[in-house]
Amino acid sequence: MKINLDKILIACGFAGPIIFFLTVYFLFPFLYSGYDIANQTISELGGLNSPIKTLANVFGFSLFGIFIMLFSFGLFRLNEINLLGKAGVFFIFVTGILMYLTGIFNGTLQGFTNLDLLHVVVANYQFPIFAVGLVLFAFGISNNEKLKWLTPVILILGLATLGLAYVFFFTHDLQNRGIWQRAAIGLPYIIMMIIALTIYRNKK
Amino acid sequence: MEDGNILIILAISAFLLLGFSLFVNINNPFSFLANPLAGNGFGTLCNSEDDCRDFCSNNLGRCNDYCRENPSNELCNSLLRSIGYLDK
Repeated sequence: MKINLDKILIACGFAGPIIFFLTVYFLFPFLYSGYDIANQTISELGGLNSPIKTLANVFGFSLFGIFIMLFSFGLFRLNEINLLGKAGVFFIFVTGILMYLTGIFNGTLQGFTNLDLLHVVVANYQFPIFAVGLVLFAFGISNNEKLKWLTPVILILGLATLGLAYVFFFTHDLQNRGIWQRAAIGLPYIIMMIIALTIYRNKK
Repeated sequence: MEDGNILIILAISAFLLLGFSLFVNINNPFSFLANPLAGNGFGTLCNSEDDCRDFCSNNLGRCNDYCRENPSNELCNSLLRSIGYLDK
């Protein structure tokens, strides 16, 4: 049987977010007694005192980071992606590393420690880096006949993500904080799924 | 390199990364980083109220210096002032 490595790697771009959404958004909160999806962040699933700390960090955050890295490696191998697009792919790869490290440096939620500082850096900084990657990638594929329709989709959904992120990070006493965070984090990874599904379907 | 070989290398790398994450989460090798930076003690001097009570009983001058520089630290007001350590 001939292995189509490119398709397997590109499939990581939609398999990863699907697993992440099913587990971190839905399954894990139900395993954590007393956890409030509406008002608690996803980082708290992997916090030091969480009863599902290992599950959430290893099979939620770190596994997802590995999927993102594999997907970006798949993008990097594609001939359809030009130099600008590959520069964007580099940033997506870094995003994967940071998502992986989110599962390594879990927050303590017991005062602000060096571990919390590391958690904040790897958990929050991945999104501006991911945004840079998506914008570069969007312009990188703008001349590709089969993929150029993705450029406005990525940019419009990207702007919507910025709006959600602004609400989550800069609104004082935000109600339903957990829901806003899930929306702000979910949308960019839905963009990644759209990219992956499009390239996967175009691949022979 | 053939695709099959690359896939095997990537799969092994992925399992190793996942294994490392599992090891870290079970054994907590980074727990030494979990000392509070601020809020629960006096910076790098001590980490908790009990810890600070012991430390300050033997290092009154250093605690006084810290509290003069960090007057907003709640422990300075509650712990030191209540037991008469802090300069009025």
